[in-house]
Amino acid sequence: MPMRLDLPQGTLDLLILKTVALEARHGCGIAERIGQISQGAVQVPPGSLYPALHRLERRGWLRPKWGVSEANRKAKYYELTRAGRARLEAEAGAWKRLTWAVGTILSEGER
Amino acid sequence: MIADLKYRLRRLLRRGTVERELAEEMAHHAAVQGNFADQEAVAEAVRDQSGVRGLERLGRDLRWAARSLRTAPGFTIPAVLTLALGMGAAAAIFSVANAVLLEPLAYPQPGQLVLLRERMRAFLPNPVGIPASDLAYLKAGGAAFEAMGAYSPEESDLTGVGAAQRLKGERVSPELLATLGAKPELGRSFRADEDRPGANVVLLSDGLWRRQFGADRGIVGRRLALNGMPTTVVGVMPAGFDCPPRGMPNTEPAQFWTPLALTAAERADVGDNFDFWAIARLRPGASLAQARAQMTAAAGRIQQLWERKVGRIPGLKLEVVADPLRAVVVAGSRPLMELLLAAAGLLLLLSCANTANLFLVRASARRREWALRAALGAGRRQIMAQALTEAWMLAAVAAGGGLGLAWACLRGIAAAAPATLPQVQGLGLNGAVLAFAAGLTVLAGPLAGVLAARAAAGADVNDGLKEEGRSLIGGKREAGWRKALVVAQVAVAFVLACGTALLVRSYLAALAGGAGVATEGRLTATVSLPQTGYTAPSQGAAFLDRLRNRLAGEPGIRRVAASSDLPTESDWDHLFTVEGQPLAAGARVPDSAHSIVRGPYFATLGIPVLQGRDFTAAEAEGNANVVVVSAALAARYWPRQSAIGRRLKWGPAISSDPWLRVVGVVGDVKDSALDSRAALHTYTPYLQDCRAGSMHELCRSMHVVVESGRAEAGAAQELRSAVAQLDPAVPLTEVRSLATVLAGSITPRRFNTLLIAFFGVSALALAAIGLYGVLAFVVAGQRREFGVRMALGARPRQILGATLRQGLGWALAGLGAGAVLAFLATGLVRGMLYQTPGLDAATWGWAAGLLLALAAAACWVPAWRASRTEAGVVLREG
Repeated sequence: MPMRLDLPQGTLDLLILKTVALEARHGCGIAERIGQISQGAVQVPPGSLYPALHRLERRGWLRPKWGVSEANRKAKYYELTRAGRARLEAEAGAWKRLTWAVGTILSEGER
Repeated sequence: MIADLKYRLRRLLRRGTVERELAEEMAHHAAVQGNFADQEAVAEAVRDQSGVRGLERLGRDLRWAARSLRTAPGFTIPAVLTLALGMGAAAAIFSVANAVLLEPLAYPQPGQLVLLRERMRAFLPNPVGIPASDLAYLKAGGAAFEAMGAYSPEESDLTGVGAAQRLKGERVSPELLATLGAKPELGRSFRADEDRPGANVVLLSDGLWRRQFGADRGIVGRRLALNGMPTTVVGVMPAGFDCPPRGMPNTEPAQFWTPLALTAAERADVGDNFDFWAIARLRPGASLAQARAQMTAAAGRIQQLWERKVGRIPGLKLEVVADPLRAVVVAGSRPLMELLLAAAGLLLLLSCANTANLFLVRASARRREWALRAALGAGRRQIMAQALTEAWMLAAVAAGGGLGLAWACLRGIAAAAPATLPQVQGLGLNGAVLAFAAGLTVLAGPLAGVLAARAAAGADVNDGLKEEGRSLIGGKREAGWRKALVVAQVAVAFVLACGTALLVRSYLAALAGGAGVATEGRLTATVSLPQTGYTAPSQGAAFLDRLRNRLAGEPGIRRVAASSDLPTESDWDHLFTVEGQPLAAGARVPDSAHSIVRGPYFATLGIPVLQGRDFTAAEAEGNANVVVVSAALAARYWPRQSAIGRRLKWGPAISSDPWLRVVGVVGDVKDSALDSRAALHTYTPYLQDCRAGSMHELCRSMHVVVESGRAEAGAAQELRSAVAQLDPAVPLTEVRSLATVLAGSITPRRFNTLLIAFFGVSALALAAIGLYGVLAFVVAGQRREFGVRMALGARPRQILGATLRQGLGWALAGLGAGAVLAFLATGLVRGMLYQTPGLDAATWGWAAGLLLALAAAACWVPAWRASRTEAGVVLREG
């Protein structure tokens, strides 16, 4: 099992936006999906997840939608708004540039 | 942005729905994940970032505070009343000071207005008006002004509308109304072409229009008889318009305005009649310094004019003084306002201290409650926030009550205010006062509550819960604070009590001192001789003689005389020169209060004739060039020798007036107010001053004094009917006893004394309440101790004595601190004292005695209760 990662500040928001970019998901689904894709390296506890979801909703990047889950229960789904998509693209681009830069600096001299 | 607002609003307005949804979301998570124990913590974390947590918490604290205050009326009612008293007094005084000091002028952009006056330091220290001849020079030289106008007082008889009456009016140049930015409510202002003699147009004041013409809107165009001349009403000025400006020294409000219309004679009268006043409006961007420099240059040109026309006057250096109008009208009331603001501030602090004490007492009693809350997880900050919210809510309620009190105070102030504070009339609770009260609330809340809040937040869980039944007194620190607050209260109360005692003593001294005249059985009234029928002074003298003869025949009436000025009300000064006594270089030409008299004036007023005699009948006819002087004048110029036969003349040494021979010296009479010093005084016969050809205003407006053995009302009736029968065209006004005249001269002092007394009494009451509250609380906490002592054989008297000693000890400490403060504060009040030294031992003794008596009474009740402790009962309780 890969090592568990501590997420840098603000990264969770980016991951959530990415997770709901394709389809609307509920809170549990989002946490599971993040864990699945990162092969368990990133675990999002509910104490971080739900405040983040509500924060993104308040900012207008996520839109809540009530639906019925696969377990046939009433669940709150979150979908990406237009503003959220724009945000995701901007943040993702910034993140990629940052990681590239950090990676480049760290690998200097290894060549 | 909008999403954020929507989210927050939904959270606030649809709390139930939002909470249910959150619960459902948590439940769903739990159902899917299974191991989700701390649902509530997660929900709380969600709520924390909802952006409305602060508001929600505030709402909860407010509800909690309201409940907590409602359930403790024994604390809330005295606390609110105490605070309301302080805030109400502060708000009332603030609104007075605001009106008097900050908004004294009811004109648009009053800060731009400048009053122009002339000053000749060699003769008079204070600025005077401007001769008509000089006005054009000021206008030509004042480039910094965008407009300038002039006014001059006048009096006119209005006839044909009810009883004949003399009205106070003002001649105003049409430019002046424009300068002041004044527009008539009805009709129009003066046209430029009406500023000439004979235009015969008039603007009425709102008051005159309502009183005399029943607010007739068709008044414009009507013709009135003003001084017997048909005069057309062109307009009515709005209510609240004043010219001369309110608060100008020595002016009365005008009831009508006519165009200035300078006559050729007035323009030619160079350097003589200083009865014109100029007001200018600064150009936007122009500075007062620029204007002053221009006026100094103009003064130089005016002085050249004077020297051309009347010759060089040695020592004369003419200045034109340009002062902001606001500063001039405010100057007189500033010391009083500062004193009142200081007193109101002290009272406010006192009431905050008292409320703080009540809060502390309550906080001690609630230690268990706070400890319990802390034990249940309330944080320090939360507890403090709650305690402060409670204090703020209390302050807000008190502010409401305080505004009511302020409103009532303002009514009282308006009723008692002297004419020198005319802005006070019709004062209400305006926006500025409401804002001030809101500011007070914000400040007073924490001031009163912060100690209690600290005590609450510092409550130790263990101690608080363990302390059951024991040590209700609370922590040592709180006890120390409580004592300090009580001591401070007593100190402040002593300061105000001292001030009150000093002012009351001064007032009584001023009343008792008298004016140097006998008042018993003396009635005074003003007769105003109209322009028509009284063109020569001999006609005026004849009327006064006929009136005297007629009244002399009535039973009970002893003497009748007339004078241009009554004691304490003279405002006519004469420069004079004493024969054979040249002035030292740089010395001012002396001046005297002057009265022109007809009839046995000195005998009628009981003024003793100390040397020589009263005027003879021949001298009264006006051709003898004689004068009667006051004792002070005689003592200054002819000390230890007879003044009879010496001579003086009006004006400076170069004046061409004839020498007047002193025929008598009379006792000193106060000329301006009972609480002022008697000035030098001179008297001349009516016909000597009012000579044929010129019948100036003073000769028309004479005060009749009647000495009788009859009741005031009877004598007044006699006087009225006598005047009406002799000449119904002569208005008789201001019928009042001489005692009323004298008392009226110290109305401002009475007003000040009443106000300060209000503060003094309130402060004493607050200090007594504070002492009582704290001592009662301490005694309640010591019940067990008293019980033990009683059981061990202590007598009730001993307990009583010990408790009293404790309370009085605080009072004495406060008195000591207060004495130091009062010593420092005497400077504030010294200027208002009359024949009372600021460090008057008797007065201080009185204040201290009163305070200690009150303190003893306040301490007696709890002490007595302590002495009645029943040992058995108390010891069984625990």
